[in-house]
Order: sequence, then structure tokens, then C-alpha cells
Amino acid sequence: MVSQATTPLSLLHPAALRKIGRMELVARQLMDGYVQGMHRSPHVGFALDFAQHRPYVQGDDVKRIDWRVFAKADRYYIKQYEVSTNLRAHVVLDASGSMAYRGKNDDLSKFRYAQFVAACLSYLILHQQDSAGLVTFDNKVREFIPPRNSPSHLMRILQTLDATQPQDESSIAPLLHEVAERAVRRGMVIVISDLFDKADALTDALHHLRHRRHEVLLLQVMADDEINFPFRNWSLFENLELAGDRLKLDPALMRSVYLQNVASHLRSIRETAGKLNINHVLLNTAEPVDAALSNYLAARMGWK
Amino acid sequence: MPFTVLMGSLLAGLLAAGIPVLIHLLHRQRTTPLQWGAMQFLLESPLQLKRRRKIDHWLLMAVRMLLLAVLALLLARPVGCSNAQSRLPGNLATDIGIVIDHSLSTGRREGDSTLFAQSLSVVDKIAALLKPNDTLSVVLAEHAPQRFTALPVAGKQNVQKLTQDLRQLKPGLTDASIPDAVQTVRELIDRGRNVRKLIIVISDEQRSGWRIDDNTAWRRALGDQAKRFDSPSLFAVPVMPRSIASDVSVSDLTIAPGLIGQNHPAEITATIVNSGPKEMPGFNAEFTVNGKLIETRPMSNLGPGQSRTIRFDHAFKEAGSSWVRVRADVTDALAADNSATAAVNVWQRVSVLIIDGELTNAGRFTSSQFLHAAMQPAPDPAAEAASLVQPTTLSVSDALAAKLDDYHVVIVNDVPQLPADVLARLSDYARSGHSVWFILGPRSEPQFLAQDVSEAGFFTAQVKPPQAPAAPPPAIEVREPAHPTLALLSASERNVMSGSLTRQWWSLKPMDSNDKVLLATSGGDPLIFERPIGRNGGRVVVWCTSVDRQWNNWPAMPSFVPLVNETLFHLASSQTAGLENRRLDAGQRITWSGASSTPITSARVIRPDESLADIQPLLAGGRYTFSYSETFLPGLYQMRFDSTNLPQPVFYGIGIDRRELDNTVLSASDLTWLKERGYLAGRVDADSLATALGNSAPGIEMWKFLAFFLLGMLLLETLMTHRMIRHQSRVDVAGAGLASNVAASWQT
Repeated sequence: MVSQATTPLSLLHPAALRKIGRMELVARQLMDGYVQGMHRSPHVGFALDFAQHRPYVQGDDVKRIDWRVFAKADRYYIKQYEVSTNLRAHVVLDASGSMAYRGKNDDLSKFRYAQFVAACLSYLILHQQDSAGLVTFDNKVREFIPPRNSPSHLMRILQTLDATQPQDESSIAPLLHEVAERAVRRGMVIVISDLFDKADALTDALHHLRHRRHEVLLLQVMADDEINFPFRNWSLFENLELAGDRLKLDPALMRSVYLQNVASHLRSIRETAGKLNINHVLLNTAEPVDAALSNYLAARMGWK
Repeated sequence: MPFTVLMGSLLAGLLAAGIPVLIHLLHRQRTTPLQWGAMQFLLESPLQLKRRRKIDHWLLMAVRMLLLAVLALLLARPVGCSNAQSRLPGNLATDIGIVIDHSLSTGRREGDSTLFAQSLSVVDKIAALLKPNDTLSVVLAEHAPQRFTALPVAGKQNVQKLTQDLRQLKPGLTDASIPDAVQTVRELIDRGRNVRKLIIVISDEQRSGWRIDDNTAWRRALGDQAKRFDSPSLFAVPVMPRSIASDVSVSDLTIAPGLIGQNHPAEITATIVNSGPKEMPGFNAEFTVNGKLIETRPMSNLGPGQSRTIRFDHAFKEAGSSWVRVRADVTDALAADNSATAAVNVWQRVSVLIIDGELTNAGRFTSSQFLHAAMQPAPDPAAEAASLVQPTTLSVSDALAAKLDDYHVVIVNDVPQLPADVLARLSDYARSGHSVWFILGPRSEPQFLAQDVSEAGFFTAQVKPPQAPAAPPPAIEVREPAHPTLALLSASERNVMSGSLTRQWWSLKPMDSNDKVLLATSGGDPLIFERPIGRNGGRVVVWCTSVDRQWNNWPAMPSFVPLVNETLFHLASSQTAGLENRRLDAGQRITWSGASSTPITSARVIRPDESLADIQPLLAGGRYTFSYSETFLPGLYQMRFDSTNLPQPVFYGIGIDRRELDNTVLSASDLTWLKERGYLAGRVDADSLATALGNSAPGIEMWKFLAFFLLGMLLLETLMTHRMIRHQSRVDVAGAGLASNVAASWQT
């Protein structure tokens, strides 16, 4: 599975995603195939009522084969159960200006990448009969779609995703506080953001979320250029979040300082995440989307 | 310690030091705008760190600039030196150019040897000091610099041969230009293989040769920037007489009269000067004609600074070109100026055609009688035949048949008018280099004067008919007392025409700017005027009053005969332009001109040193003209033609260049002038030459120090660059946790 996901031009690769374009299509096509191979796990521990039989596929747990049916039909069938949804997942998507960055060699902007990730996760969650909600924000909450598990809810989420454009200054920490307050029932909070905010404030916000007993999945999206800072020539850096904020400098001169700053920022986020039992994933937009999915699943199954 | 560089032009490489700055500025100029999200990580950079990085970068740039500058300096080969003198060779291989003053003045005797011989001794000393890789080039400073070595000479044997060849030379006889010689030697040493160049001028420091105040000549000699580092250093080695010995010179050799006839008395004068500080005891003056000693005249003691004019009378027996020499038989400092040579053209006869205004030859040509008598004042027919001037008088009608080229001068005397044919032939005659003398009188017609002669090109004037006899007659003004026709008469310091009464004259107002009025009435009317005609030396002389005593008393006056004859000689000499060259100054052009009736294809000039020069004629206006201007060597020149029909050889006497007889030497201010402009680096005494060349603090080549410094700088630059790169790439992206942790998350 992993090897399939990291194949350069798999459907999860950003280059391929760019070609598909439509959110719903992406979510359906990708996730159906994706879940097929992964599927031995999600139902374990959750199923109570029988739902249907389906043919056995390689990789399914042998103990879950319905031997009665085998005796009648001489074929292997897996017994599936109706899942009773007890998970409420909030997908929190950062739509601030800094997410609009797209590296020179990148196929997708950070935001577009994050959109796909959000769409895929929403689809997965809803597909599993869990409830998925969507929160988009910049320096304030733009959309707050509470978690539902109706099939039409997916369309609403996807349409909202499609309609959202990155803009304005980001202010992540206060928004996470707000989400913590508004998501009354214990559930899962999936934060998809570049986390370009002060580390202390972020720590406080994450504490708040954990305090509310939410399970938190931090998906930090960064462009390859932001991670490697490969620039050499004198450049005029124009702030995507704040018009008129410019900085002319020699990148070669600044690289080490910049990378140190980024590393320090990441370090503090990871430390916090470690302490609070939060799964933190750094996503490079140059890499396939499945990283997010894998981590989601890992988080769901307590494989952290 | 001051230093100089051997290859100054490479100092331009210092500009390369600006390259790092240029690159920096160019990079800075070409900023690319970048939409950026992670601004906080750029803004968070600690200020101090940023500053330190900036300082590091500036330091690195400074090191790189210094590196390039040091490299440029190294290539320019700097040499440390303690003073100007140490720009002498020292231990560096050098191309040495020597300028030896080979002017006439270096022939002065100093004890047993001449100054020139002493100059050669200095060359020997320099040759002995040469190091194995040194080269030697020698140029003789003469009127035109002479390269004694075609290329710089290297090697002990070659140098030895060079000095031996120099010993064969005799002192020079011309003037010398030191800057010109320096220019030649500079061109020569530029072909040498050594970087270091040195010019040594060995001279008697005669001021005229050094061309003081002639900036142009010196700039040409040493290049526009004499003070440039890589221009060769020029040192002067003076070779001066220790004491000024007595020196006798013969000058101002003149031959009179202007036109000398065969067997007619001539007067040869010369001035003998003692320019030395001691009295010259009695000596003999020798007079030589065509190499044959004619007379030896004892001269009494000549005091210091005294001069004496000596005169010899001589009648030249043969017509044609002859030469005379006056020599003082003395032993003094400078032998070259003890004699003077002059050449003279001796006429066998001067044929004159007088066209008289009488209509036929039945009369006695009364209007021309006085003229005739003035030319040939001989009492009997036998003497007439021997007379220098042979006049022939013809009427206008007979003149039609006359062959004009047989006559040296044609006189048109009181003619009413001339037939068009005669006038045209006369015009051609004048334009080919002959002369025509118009004498106007009662018979002349206004139409002839105002129009005919003007159309023929003789002269153009506003003509007024003669007035009634003036009473009293006006005074006569001499306008040009120095003119050859009047010089002999006006020498007596009185009015040459005093007593002459002019009652009537043609009032002409010459219209041409070339017209020269010699005599005029007090009212301003010209009485005698002259103008050139054609391009071959032809002349026209016009007398506005007659010579038959009707209008004046001129024929009765004693000045009449010399006036007529001098006018005649003056006019006759125009026909033989060049032949009357007698005593020319050095550098003056010698010319010969003759009718093209005898074909000549070339002529050969035999110079005083018996060297030969072939010259080609210029054919213009029906005459051949030969000219030769390389006459800087004083003495006797001969011209011989390839045609045997011509009287030859033709002699020319060239005097010594007067500048060479001026013994003024360079003064302290002159030396300052030379040094201030960078033309002269220093003056080295002949005796201390060895010390100066051998033991002077040698220039220290600084390239070794610079090379070490450069290596150090390179090392520093490498270290700094390495450090900089390490700083920039030190952050291990993966190690710093910046790599995506997907796989890690998944696998755990």
C-alpha cells in the first residue's frame, strides 16, 4: 500500500491530482480504490448490526469469513455489519493567504493540496458512516459545517471546499480555541494548515483541544521551497498575507537562519504534539497525498 | 619605500578589483519578486546574526578585491627603490640604449683625444659593466639619428666587436638633435627582450642639440607620458672639455660681384675669428681655388675674441662652376671650422638683346647708345670682344627674326609697340626663366603699356601719359636699398640717385601684389619696379623713364653704369637659378636648373665625405630642375649629370651649422627643465659611472613578497568561502526535522 502510494505518478500524486481537478471525483475515485486495499481494519470493534455479505478478498482476516455462507455457496464471503457512528470529525482547513503559496516546481499550491487532503478525509470518514464536519478559516472562521453523517453532507462539504479561496492573514491559535469551544461532543479534530503562527499560541490551542478530549491530527502542509529554501539570487519577498509587506534580501545569506527558524518552529510543534499525544504530520506538497490518509487511518486505529 | 613597476601598463589590471563589487551590484539589481508565505521565519532572524553574516560577506568581498588587486600588481612587476638613481639597472637585466653625440662640436680636442673619443671610452666602461642578459644598442646623434646597431646587441663578443667598430668612427660634422636620437634609441631598445630599459646619452651637453624648451620633440622622444613607470629612464653622461682651448674659425666667405665673368676681377672675403680664451700666434691663411693653392697670406697674432676680415682678389680663368676655400693653417681645439668653402659660377659672356624703338636699323639707335656704352665701356673694338656683356641692338622689325633663346636678357627700349608675334615669343621667353627689361620713353604708346603688355602677362598697371616736364624735378626715393640692383650703390650710405634729375616719366600704378617698387618719385610714382613672371624664375624690370637724356640726366650720372650692370646681372642670374649658389648654410637646398634642350635623366651628388646620392630631375616649364636637401655635412658638394654636353661638375659650398659653433652648454635651469618634465632621470659623471651602475642600491623585485601575500589571500578567501558555504548548507534539512515525516509516521 505504501509503496503504491509513493509511486510517482499514482493517482495520489500531486501531478495526477492537478489533472483530475474536480473535488468530488477526486474524493470518490481515489478513496474507493484506496479503501479497498486497506479495508480489513475500520470495522473492527465498531460493528454491531449485520449489514451485508461481500466476497472475500485477499488480505481480509480469515476469522471474519462467514463459514455458513461458505457451506451453502461454496464461496468465501465476509460478513459485514452496520456501523453505528460514534465518531464526529471536524476537518479544520486553513484558508489564509500563506496557504496560497505554490513553489516553482510544485504542481499544486499548498491550499489546493490541503483541499484534496480535506476532501479525501471527509469522504473516507463519511464513507465509514462517521460524521464529518468542515471548518475553514483565515483570521476568523469562514465556514463552520457541523459534523453529519448523511450521504448528502459530503456534497455540502465538497462544495464548500471548492468555493473557498485562500486570503487574509492567518490566526490559527484563536481559531483552534474557537473550534474547541464549538465542538461540544468529544470527537476528532483534523487540522490542515501550514501552522504559520507563534508556537506558544499554538501550544495553548492544542492543549485546549486535548483538554476537551478531542483526538487531534495535525497535518502541516508546507511547500518544498519553504522546507529547503533553494533560492540563490537576490529576491524581493512579498508577503502573501499582508499586502505591501516586502523584504529584499540575499537568500543565500539568509538560508541557514531561515532554516534554523523553521526547524525551531517545527521542533516546538512536535514537542507539544508529543506531549499531548497528538499525531503531527509534515506534508510536503511535492509528495503524494496518501501521507495524510495513512496518518488519518493510523490515528483512527490507535497506531500512533 | 617608494616603488616603481616595470610593466606599468598592466597596472590597468587594478580595475579588476572592482569586479566583485560589480557582480554584487548586478546581482542586487536583478531581484526577482517572490510571493512568499513563510514571512515570519525571515523576519524572526536575529539582527545580530544577520549583521554578522553581512559583515562576513563584506569581508569576503574585500578579500576578493584585494586578491585581484594584488594579482594585477604582481603582474606589473613592482620594484622597490630608494631613490631615482636606483632606477639604474642594479641586478636586473636591462636593455641599455646609448646615444653618442656625434655632432661637429664633439670633434673638439681635449689633450690628445677628442670629446668623441672620450665618449667612446664611456661606452667601453658601460660595456665592461654589462651583465650576461643585458643588451646594448647604440645610436649616433647627428642631424638625422644614425642607428649604429640594427638590433640590440647581446653577448660579450658582440659587444666587444661593437666597441671596436665604434673606434673606427671619426668625429661628426653635422649638428645633432638629442631628442631625435633618443627617440630612435627608444624604438631600438623596445625590441630588446628585457623588461627594464635604460637610455644613456653621452654628449658634450651643447645646449642647441638638447632642444631645451622643445616639449614636442621630447614628448615624441619619450612618449607622451615621460613620467610613466614603464618609460625608460634617461641618464646623461657629460663629456666636457676641462679647459677651453683656443679655437679659430673661418666664416662669412663671400664672393663679389654678383655676376662674375671669366677673367674679370673678383673679390673673395672671409672673416677669421678667435673664439678661444688665448691669443692665437701668427699663422697663415691659405686661399685655394678649385683645389689649387693660389695664395698663402701670413696673419698676425689674433687676440681672444678678435676677428679679422681677409680679402683675396682673383680673376677666374675658366668659365663654369668653380670653388674657393679659405683656410686658417692653425692647430686648435676644433679643426672642422678652420676652413670655409664657397662655390661660384663664372660667366664667359652675357648676351643681351636690345630691341630699340626705331622702326628700321637705318638709324643709329640713339636711344640705346647710353645703355650700350654702360654695358660695354671699352675704348676699342678688341676690348669690346673680350667684354663680359655682349649687347646686340635690333629694331622692332628685325626682332621678328631674332632667336631669343640665344640671349640671357632682352631689353625693350622705348618701343611704341611690339607686333603680337614678338610679344608672344617674348612672353614665352620670360616664362621659361629668362628676364625682360622694359624701358619706357617718349615713343611708348599708352595702348601698348595699358593693354598689350598686360595681356602678354608682363605687368598690369594704370597708365597715365607723361606730364609736362616737372619743375623742379622731384626727389627720388630709394624704396629697396638692399635689392641686388641697388645694394652695391647704396652701400656708400648716400642716396644712390643724388644728383639725378628726372623731368618726365610714365606714371604707372602697378596693380599686382608681387610688384616691388625699387625707386620712386617723391610723389609716389614708381620709377623702377620689378615683378616675377612664370614659375621658372623669370623676372620683369620696368624703368618708367627713358635712358636717352630726353627725360632725365641719369646717363650722365656716375651711378648709371653700375645701375645698368647690376640690373643686368640680376636679370641674367634668373636664367641660371641655382648656379649662383655660392655659400649655403647647412640644411639649405642646393638646386640646379637648366634648359630642357639637352636631355638629362639623372644627376649624381658627390658629398664632402665622398658618399654619393643620385637624384632625378623635375621637368617643368621647359626646364630641368635638380634639387638636393641633405646638406647637413659642411664642405664641397659636386653635382654631375649623365649628359656630357653640359658643363660639369657644378660646385656648391655648404657652411658649418651655426648652432654647432655656439658653445653654450646646458645650464642648471635647463637640467631642471628636463628633470621636471620627466625627460631626464639623472646626470651621471663619466668617472662615477661604474659606481652608479654597479653599486647603486639595486631595485628589489617585490614579486616574491607579493606572491606569498597572494597565496595567503587565496587561502583566506578559500577558507572564508568554505565557511560561508558551510553556513549556508550547514542546516541538514532532514536532520533538522524538515523532511516530511510521512514514512516515519506510517511505519511506526
